[in-house]
Amino acid sequence: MRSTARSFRHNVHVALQDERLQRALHKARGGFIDKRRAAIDALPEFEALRRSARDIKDHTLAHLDSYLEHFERQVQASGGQVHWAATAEEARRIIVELCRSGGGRRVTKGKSMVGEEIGLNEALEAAGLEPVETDLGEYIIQLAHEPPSHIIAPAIHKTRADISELFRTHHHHQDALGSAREIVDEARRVLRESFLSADVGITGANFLVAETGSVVLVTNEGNGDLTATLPRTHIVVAGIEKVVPTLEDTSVLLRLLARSATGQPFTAYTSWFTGPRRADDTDGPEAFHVVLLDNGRSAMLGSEYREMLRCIRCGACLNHCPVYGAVGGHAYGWVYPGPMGAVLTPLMLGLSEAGDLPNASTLCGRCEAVCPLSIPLPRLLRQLRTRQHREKLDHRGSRILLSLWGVLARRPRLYQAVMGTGVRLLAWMGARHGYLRRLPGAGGWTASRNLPVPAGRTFQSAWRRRGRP
Amino acid sequence: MSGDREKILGALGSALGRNRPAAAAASEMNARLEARPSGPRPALGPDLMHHFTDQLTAAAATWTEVRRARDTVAAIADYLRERDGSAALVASDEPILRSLPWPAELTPRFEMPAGDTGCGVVVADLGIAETGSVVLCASPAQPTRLNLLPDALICLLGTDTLVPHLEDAWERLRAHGLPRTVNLITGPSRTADVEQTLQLGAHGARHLHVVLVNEPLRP
Repeated sequence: MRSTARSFRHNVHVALQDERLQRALHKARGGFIDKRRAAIDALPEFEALRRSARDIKDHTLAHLDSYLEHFERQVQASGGQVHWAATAEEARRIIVELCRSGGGRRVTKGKSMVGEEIGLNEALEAAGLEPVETDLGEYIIQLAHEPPSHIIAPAIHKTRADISELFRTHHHHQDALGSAREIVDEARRVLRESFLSADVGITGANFLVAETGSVVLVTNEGNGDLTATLPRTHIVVAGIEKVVPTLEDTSVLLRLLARSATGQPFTAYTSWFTGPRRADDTDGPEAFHVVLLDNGRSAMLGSEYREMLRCIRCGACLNHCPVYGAVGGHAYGWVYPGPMGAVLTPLMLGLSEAGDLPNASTLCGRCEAVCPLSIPLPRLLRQLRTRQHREKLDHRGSRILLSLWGVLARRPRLYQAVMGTGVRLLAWMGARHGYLRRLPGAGGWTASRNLPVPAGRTFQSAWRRRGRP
Repeated sequence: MSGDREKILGALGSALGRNRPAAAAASEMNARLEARPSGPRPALGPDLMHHFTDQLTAAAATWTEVRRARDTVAAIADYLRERDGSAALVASDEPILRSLPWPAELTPRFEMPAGDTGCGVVVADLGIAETGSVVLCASPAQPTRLNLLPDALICLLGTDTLVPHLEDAWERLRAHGLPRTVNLITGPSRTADVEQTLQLGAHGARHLHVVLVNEPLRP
């Protein structure tokens, strides 16, 4: 999909004014956080599992080429095929080709963030194929022609009334659906036909298991399983960072994934797919393909952003981010929102495209605190800011301010003189109330709150007066 | 296609600061694949069965326990009566299911469902106490779609096949080689995609009923 990350500032403005979006975000906020907390409190081993998961990922990433080759051998040994795509374009080309050679037009899809990353639906439609998203959230946003706004709850920005209206229009009936139950039942009925008539099923992968050549898929609806089971061809599209060594390793990661994502101990459907149907099986696909996507990941591996490749896409950092909570996912302008998106998007699309995203963070650190893989997201965001400054990609105003700051910070005496004058001036200006209602140049701060005035002298001068301890 | 394979592997090798092929890296990998170290396993308490049924209930599944395999017929009849359903049964072609003393009005069809189906009957390969999951392996007798298409899924589980942790399941499955599909099913299908309110029965079974049987169901 096309990115609008460049107009992040405008997107944020629109999101903050959008009452429907704000209502939907408000409804969603507490649920994820409270459920995750309860699930983790019930598992004393959580921190030990976190350390173990980080070690598994770091080990695998340090041997990524070897594990991918082993995975490929095991897929082939079980009768499947592996395809390698360096770019989104190549992945699209491979998948369209596989659909065509599978002799089918009707394509069902399980939810796949990599599918969104490469703009797969548009490519399939352009090739005359008919992709149908089967995860309810993805189906809703497909009808609305919108990108997902959350990596595990794609339609979190939609209210029940929005969805009811979409279904009325697209399923051609007169009556609005009142309850969530009616909406789910109608989706079940409509999509059941798609499942049964599909020629090709495309899913993502939560994990790839090098030991066995298996693809692990985690869903609550069961849509991924139906997509992987009923059509003649099953195509998996996955980032190269998804591989883990053994079945034992999937256990560790699965114990963290659902708890971090939805606060469930385990998802309703957790499945391992290995190759196509066996000779005497009575169902399952005849052909099994795995498309491995690089799209910037190998570059991340060799950079100071390697830790980002630990990400298992649970969405905990989104759910706990104050900025995501205020503006929602669409403002980020592309596929991956929230803190993980603010790191991934500039790395995949370039800082000149998505330079505002790493700056849209207070660096409060909640994302790192809740990340099941302990990804140092605030540090990665700071690194991106540093690089942006070095490459002169940040805004002119902030460059000037930073340079001035640099001049002062390198000259302690000058710094003290300027700061001393500044705080005395502010103290004098706000002497009457003890705060300032307006301050020239800081309108963003004072628009919604008062600025408390400083004490009248700097910390350094107070320290000197007090004498050394 | 193959051009990208070499391109990606080459890029990974140089990102990792070495030339391909890296024999040392491969032998480190092989050592770990051999060793298969396990991570921390949650403590489960002394009574596995208790933990399992607690997890089942937490996942919105229902369950009942019977002594003998032949008692499952009465258990299934009770379950259908409680649900007020005269749903037709479709069962997998497992010898144990064929051999049960089905009364005429309950006798299942032993076939692969083509579409919507009232009530499926399957035999689990394993149960996992840690998660409350039933493990269903694809086989010629038991097609995967039977786990997914029915409105309600009745799953027989021999209590001799209950294992504590996920890792214990891998040990057993590895012994026979993985089938095409291994489903760990933990409660009925669900979604919270409409305003984050949980609804059961999205695309898979709306109900999951586990019949625990205190004798082996397979030789």
